[in-house]
Amino acid sequence: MAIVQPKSLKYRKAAAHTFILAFLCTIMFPLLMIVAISFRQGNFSVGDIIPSAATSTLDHWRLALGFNVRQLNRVTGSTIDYVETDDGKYQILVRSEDDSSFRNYVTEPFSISDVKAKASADVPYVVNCYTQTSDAESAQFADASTAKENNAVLESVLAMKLGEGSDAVQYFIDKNDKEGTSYGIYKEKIIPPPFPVLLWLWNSIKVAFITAFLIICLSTTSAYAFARMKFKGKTVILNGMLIFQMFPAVLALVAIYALFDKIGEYIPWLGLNTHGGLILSYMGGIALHIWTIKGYFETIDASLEEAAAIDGATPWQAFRLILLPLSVPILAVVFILAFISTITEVPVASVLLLDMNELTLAVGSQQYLYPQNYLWGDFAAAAVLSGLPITIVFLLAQRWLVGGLTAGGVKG
Amino acid sequence: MAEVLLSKVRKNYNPAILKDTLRNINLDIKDGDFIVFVGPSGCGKSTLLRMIAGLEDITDGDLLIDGKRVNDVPPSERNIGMVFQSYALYPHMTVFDNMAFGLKLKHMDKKEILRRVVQAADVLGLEAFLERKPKALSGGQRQRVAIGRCIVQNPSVFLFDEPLSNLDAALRVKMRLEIAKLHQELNATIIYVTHDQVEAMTLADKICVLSPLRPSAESNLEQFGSPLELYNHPVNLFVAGFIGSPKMNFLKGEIVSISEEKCTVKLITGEKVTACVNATRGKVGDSIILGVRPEHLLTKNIDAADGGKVTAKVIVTENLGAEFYVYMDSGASEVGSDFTVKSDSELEVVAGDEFSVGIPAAACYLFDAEGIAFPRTQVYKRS
Repeated sequence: MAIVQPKSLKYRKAAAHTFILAFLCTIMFPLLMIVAISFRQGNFSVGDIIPSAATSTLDHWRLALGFNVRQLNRVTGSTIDYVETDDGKYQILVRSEDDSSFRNYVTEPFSISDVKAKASADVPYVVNCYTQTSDAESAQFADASTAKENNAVLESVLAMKLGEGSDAVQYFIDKNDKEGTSYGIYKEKIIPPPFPVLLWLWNSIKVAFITAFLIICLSTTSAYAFARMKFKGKTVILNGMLIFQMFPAVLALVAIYALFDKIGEYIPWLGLNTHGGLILSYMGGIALHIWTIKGYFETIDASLEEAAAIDGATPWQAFRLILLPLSVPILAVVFILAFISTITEVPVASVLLLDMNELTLAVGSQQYLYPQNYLWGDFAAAAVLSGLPITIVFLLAQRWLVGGLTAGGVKG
Repeated sequence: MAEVLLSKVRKNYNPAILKDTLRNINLDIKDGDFIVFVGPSGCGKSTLLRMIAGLEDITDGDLLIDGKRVNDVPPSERNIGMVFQSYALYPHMTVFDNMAFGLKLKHMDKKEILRRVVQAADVLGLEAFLERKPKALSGGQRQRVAIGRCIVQNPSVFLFDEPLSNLDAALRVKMRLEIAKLHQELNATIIYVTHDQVEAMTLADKICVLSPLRPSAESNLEQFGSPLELYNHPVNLFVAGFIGSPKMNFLKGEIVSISEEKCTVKLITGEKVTACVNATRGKVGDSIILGVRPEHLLTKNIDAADGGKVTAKVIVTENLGAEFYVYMDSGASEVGSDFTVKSDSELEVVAGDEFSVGIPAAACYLFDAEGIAFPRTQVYKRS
């Protein structure tokens, strides 16, 4: 700005900047919270905004992205003894109170040299083991002179594997977790993802894309009619659409349910629990988009289409070849708006969709929050994930949000 | 090329209120004519053009192009080309695509499209700009593209809707000449709408003067004739006042004596003026309006003027260098309108002076109380 300003403007500018920064922080805070929770150990909604290395974990993200999560639970009251077999190999005997009952786990014999050769800090040396109800013979217990050697076994990471295939359970021995003669024994627990989050995400993207595309198709053609054509009742319909749009769809949930139940009897792919039905219900919300696009169409000089008509274009050709290419910015805006509102919509989707595998992410992620167990961490990861497609669509659509498309066409 | 015939054409935008925009328009436009529609804003001249183009429907009457009734024929099949006031170029297409758009829609052979566009661009001097978008063109170039878009279609009638009104004064003169040249080259029928009477007088073979429709009037087509016919023999007060710049002076008075060749009137200020007008259809004592053009008034040798003289108080003078205007307040003028004098030479008058001008009898126009002109018996030639 080249206008000369008074000196007090400097302070007002600083105040305005401070306000804007504070405002930005305020609205960014919940997002940061969610991101932080998704990286935090456990399912707690309170804690550090920036999790430290000790308390952070990727487990919530693993679950959200469909990977198994491995948990190590300390088995209480475990003691370890070593047994030397006759051929110079070792066996480990673990006594524990796992699952509230005393158990003995005995490994198959293994040689220390094998362990040293194969195990590293990350990859444990896995030894098969079996359970034994009676104690191993005390005569076979290693004496003090071999204890040193035994400790050498534990220099490497050692895992005991019980059972075969998918039922296998692994126990890890941690040499650093030593109390007296007993070592810490950790039982490995594999947690499969509780919900098909990626499938939900795909459902969301699919529904949102198709909905946004169909909304664009419907609302541009309707807006063209409202902006350019003369017909009876035009004003009444336009105002009517606006007024009916003011009632939230939530008010009609029961009606929507009943309606799609009935539709499903005749056209199954548009009925309850189908994405077709959900998309159809979302198509009802185009009134505002029609108004938006109509407003944009009216800024484009009608003489362009008249010129096209004289050039021999049909109304459809004038619409498609002249009007639509000039309306790309508003089409991008409407696409983004429709996409976002569809991705984030919950009430209608939660009523129309029933199967776990059909849910959208916005509805599905709420499965993490049930009154007895609020899985905040897993929920947060899914929630952040649901923001991903919106961001990508926005970034892609941004290149179409350009001004000046109609420049030079008419003298303005 | 084609003839255009309008017969009893009427236009009513809203039938609920019986208020016509155009009524009883009868025009016979000959092949190759350059016709200009003029009139004040709101007289329906653009509407009439759009009706010929097919962008507005015709409420009543017939429109014939080349002898074929085209009332219900869509614009693209009327074989017309139209240049819009706003140019209406397609902003997202290059100049070439703008001009080729209509031909592509007709699935014309690509070589033929190229030949036609290049030919049109050659005529209009647009060869260098074919790959540009309209955004990168100047106003005059855009206007030429709009004309080129018509030319490539090879229409039988060109329609121009105030094509020069968006250009600056210098460019307007240049484009005016180019359009005149184009008419000679193409020899096409051209219908041209403007509110600028210089364009009308210079370009037109025939001018059609339209007026805003009065509720009781039979038609708002006031007069249809050649520019000089309108200038010298306006049929009524409206045409006389509309054609000519500055506007014709009107003085109120009554008839004193009548003959076949001359008529003497007494203005309400008491001054007597003789006019070369056949007023035999009137009678002595009728109130009339005397018209005289500012450029015909004599400022030297006033007493030699055969018509008489008028004296009034000067309000303002304007010196344009080449021309000199004196605006006077005559008691015989309509309230609110000045008595204007145009002189080729500078005059020694200032505001407040009493100033007299001579009126040549041959330069007078005479209108009856209804505004209908009495036939003039002579046409004034300036010496």
